[in-house]
Amino acid sequence: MKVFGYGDSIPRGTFQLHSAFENAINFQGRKGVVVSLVSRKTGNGPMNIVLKHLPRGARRLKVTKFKFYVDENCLEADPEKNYDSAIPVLPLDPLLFRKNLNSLKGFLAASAPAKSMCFLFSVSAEAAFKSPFERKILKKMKEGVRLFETGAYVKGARALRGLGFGLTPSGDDFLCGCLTGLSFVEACLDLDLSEILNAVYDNALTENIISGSFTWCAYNGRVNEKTRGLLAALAGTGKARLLSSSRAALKRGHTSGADFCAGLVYGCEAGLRAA
Amino acid sequence: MFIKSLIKKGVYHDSVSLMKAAKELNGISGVVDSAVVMATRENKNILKNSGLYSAELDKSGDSDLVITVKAKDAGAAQRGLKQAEEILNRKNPPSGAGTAAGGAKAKGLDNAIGLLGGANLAVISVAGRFAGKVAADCLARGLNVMLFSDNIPLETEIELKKTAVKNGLLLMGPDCGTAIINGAPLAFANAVNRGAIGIVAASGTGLQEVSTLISNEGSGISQAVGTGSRDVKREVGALTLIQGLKALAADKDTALILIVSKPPHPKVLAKILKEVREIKKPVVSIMLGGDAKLPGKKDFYPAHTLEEAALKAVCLARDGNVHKAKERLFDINTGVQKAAAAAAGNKTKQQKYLRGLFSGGTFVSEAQAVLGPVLGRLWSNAPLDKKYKLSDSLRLRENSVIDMGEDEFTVGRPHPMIDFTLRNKLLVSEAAKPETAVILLDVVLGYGSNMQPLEDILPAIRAAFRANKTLSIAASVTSTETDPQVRSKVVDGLRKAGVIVMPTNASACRLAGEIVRKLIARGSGRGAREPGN
Repeated sequence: MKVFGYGDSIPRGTFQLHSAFENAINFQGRKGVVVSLVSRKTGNGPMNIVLKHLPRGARRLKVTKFKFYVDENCLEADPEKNYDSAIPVLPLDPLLFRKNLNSLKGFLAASAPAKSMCFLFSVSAEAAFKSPFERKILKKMKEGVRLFETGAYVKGARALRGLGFGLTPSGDDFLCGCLTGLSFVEACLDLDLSEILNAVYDNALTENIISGSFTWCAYNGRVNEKTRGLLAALAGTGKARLLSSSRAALKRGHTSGADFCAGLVYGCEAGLRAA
Repeated sequence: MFIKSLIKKGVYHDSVSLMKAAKELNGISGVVDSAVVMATRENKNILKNSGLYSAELDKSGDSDLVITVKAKDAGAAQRGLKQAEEILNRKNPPSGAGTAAGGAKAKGLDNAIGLLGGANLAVISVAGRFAGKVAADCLARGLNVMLFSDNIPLETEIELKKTAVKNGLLLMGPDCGTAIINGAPLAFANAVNRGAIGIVAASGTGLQEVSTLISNEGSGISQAVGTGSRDVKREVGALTLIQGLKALAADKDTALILIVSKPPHPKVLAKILKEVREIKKPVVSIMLGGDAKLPGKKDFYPAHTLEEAALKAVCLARDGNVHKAKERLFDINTGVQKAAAAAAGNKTKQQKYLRGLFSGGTFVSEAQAVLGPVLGRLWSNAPLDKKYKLSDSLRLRENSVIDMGEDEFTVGRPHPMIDFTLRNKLLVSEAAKPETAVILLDVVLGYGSNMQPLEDILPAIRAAFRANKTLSIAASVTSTETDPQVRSKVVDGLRKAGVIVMPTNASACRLAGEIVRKLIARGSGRGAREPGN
């Protein structure tokens, strides 16, 4: 097994198989920590180990200072392949940034999958929520986001956590995106948004450990490769780059990428308001 | 309205599957509303508000999946639930702590046979106390068996093999770690060329050594049948070995048969040779530490080392000229002499012993067979002569060769072919001893073995040379270019680190023995054996 990269937030310890999918195999440790073996399609992340081929049937992962053990197989942790997951600190022109956020909203409205939280950017997308249950989910999501918009972050987070479809519910992914957006603005504009960050994070967690792991990373300003690319594009001037990185960011789960991006927009805007 | 719910604990479906299931569920006739969601508090609140909640959902938690259906009648609700499960299991079987994606999860042997239509071989690797029954069940269903498990009672093995023979099935094992069937390497095996040489082996590492040598010499393997380590004992009577011989004799793609074994019980040897006499193809035989003669059969070729057996098989398969094997062996031995002369020249007066640290048990036997006549007394934890059993396998003395795959080293620990940690420690500690002149290693690669051998072994080798600047390390690499680890990469890496890499285990042993012999001769002025022999 060849290691292409591994995240800088992977703790040492022994982890047992939690779940396995086509592009990721998740291992659970103590205190709900999740470390994932992922394919190159998924790419680098704070808690990811990127392999050429995923070892189907793997049961156990052990992480030491210099090595990873997948069952009996030992993989070298080459420091040169360590992925720096810290949120990028970039020069940020607030006007340009807002403009790019609007472009992203437009893209999400046009391209996000059905039943994602990108209905926030396109009223017509609400039509995808057809059944009575789905309509109720939609209503609850809208209520949660409205609370968020009005600055009631605690209530908003509580309304959205665990809400919606998917293995990582849409609300959880949205809150991850929010925390990432807030962390990015805080870092780039040298602000103190800890009050908002804490309010969201403290009320965002459920017992879903995969969501929890993503949320922890977002709160601590750790991002995966695709998100890094998107943030850099949002801070920059290249339209093509923004488009391609937005497309890449959508490619997670079914609606997870889109839900995250929706939350990212809201988190960035909340940060700009606070500035 | 009827509401039916299903909680799925500890199984995880990706979001795409969940969405798909939800979509299809809503399309079922009679279903008014439905949900396929994680049972978080918020989702459960929505379920309550939607009239989709049932009391059993009280028991569900954030990490559970809930499928709930509201329908016009109970039948429709039940159908909906069933269909949702089928949809989820259809293309993307659920994964959880007990399974892994990419393989079907069967609910028993019959289910597994049904899922994989046409399967005729079961590979069994369960705890020994269950393995006998599982093997019997497989045989009863007409499956051939490769029984990787060990710790199976001898009586059970005999019963299983008798049943297999009676039903015309093959039972490889117990403790069968290597086989190559129709080109597919099974368990610990190597990616080798396909060809006309059939192998039947009562030794996993032996099978790996001969099959890789054959492949590296440009020839190939038709089939390689493993028999398990006890097959040639008197009680078992070589039942699987003889079955393997019959099968290879009848196989149209096999032109030549190679037998690899430790010395069988004399009565068992007679049985085997009786069977060999009936075979109308050339047979090469290596019975490490023993001798097999078959007067009257012209095309029977005994060998004394795995290397010799493999080379004879290659030469016979190529053009029927077995004498060319001698030429090849001569070339290899010339290399041994040259390397030994260079290596022995720089040793201190204190350096006089070799220490063999092996991961393959058969290589320890071969080392003793090769080194015994040269060096005399050779200590081991798996000695051919019980007189020379080490009292403590970690306290090596004089000339010693140890099998680190023995139970004493592997309880609670991966096999040394997978995890080099313990051997690396021993390598460094033995190197540091002033009396150590040469360390002998085997590096066995292929499927199931360490996938990063250089990364794991090189630091220890470098440390060994730092601790003992006039040390020699001799090694063989059992592998091919098409193995995942790629043989030439590993050989180059070891050579760059100062290891003398020989083409075979036997030649590496001869090299080590020759170095020590030269040191003895230097010390005593004679080319004599060690005193006491």
